[in-house]
Amino acid sequence: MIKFREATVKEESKIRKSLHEWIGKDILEKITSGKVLVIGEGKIKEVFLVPMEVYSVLKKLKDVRMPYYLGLFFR
Amino acid sequence: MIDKGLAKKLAEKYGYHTYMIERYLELFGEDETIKLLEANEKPLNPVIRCNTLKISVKSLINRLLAKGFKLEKVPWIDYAFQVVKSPFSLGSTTEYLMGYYYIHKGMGSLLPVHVLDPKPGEIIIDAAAAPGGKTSQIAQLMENKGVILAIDINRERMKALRSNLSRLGVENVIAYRMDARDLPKFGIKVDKILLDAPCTGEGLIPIDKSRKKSRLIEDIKYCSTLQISMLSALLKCLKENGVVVYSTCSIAPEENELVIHRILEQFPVSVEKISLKDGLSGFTEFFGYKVREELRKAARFYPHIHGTQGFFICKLKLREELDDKV
Repeated sequence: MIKFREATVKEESKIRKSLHEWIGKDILEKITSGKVLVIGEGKIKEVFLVPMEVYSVLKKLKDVRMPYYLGLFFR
Repeated sequence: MIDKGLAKKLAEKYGYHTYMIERYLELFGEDETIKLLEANEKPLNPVIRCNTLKISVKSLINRLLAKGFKLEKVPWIDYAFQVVKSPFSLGSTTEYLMGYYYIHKGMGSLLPVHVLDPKPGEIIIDAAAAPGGKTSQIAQLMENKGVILAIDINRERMKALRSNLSRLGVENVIAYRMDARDLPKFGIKVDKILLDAPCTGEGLIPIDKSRKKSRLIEDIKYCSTLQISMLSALLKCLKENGVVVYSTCSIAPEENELVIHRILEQFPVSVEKISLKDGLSGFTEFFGYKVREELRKAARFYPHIHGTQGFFICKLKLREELDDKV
């Protein structure tokens, strides 16, 4: 069973800081614009960067399982 | 009555199961059957689809022409080109690795999404999605806006889907490895559904000659039953007035017109006219079956007439929403 939720302020700040160091400010802004950082928690914890529309559909799905592909993801 | 001696002779000459030739003779007559068999011997040109999420058609074509590729426009689709000559393997160019194009084995596989006509902001199910050719074509027409639920049951093909979608910069997909018949459990209603159904692949003989001998008549029956059960389940995920595009790369009417006929008998759906001028009409009579007249609105494509793999496409509209528990 996977639970999806938006990243907390603290988590988001930590993830953004790591990405900033990795890919730089300009690319970070380009790829995160209009998207939301989503945490999927199950046996493992994954971070997804998905458009808001995708997250809103994901929240509506009743049969929750880990997707094979979901926006941009980091493991 | 078909000439069984002729069927046997043609089956031996072209290397098919005799039952397949007998069926072709009954469906198409002798002249058309021979034209079909001859066309199946000729390989199809591969087709590249420009990924407009990453590059414009003009820029990609200029880059490939400069490298010595010879391309011809696909008649129905302005962002796809047949590759007539390629100096390198199509999967090894910088442009391919950058996700500027996707390689299709023939023109036919571009048609179902063209008929589906996805729009930005819609919610769409691609129910037999891997390896991702049609999913990425939908995403590009949606301009990465809206949501695609991409479903497939095959683990290896799902890995290919993930790799293709990443390479092509597709962002609006949620992909699950699961049986599409379980989708009603998600409790979601969508605008459009594409079911490019698992089939015997009889139309793929120009691409894969092994299919002349690899399928039996029982496989057609098995696929037909599976296709009806998949389409029945998927209709429960559709909004009122939502659209389903059903397609196969089979030319067997039991996997096409008969499937749609059974669905029309059970559900409040109607067949919609397809905006493709060149396809031939669907059958209304075959092998002793008589199916609904509205199946004439479905489209059939053949290698000897259209230069595509053998293909069937039908567009359905759901008149009233179904209870997902039915």
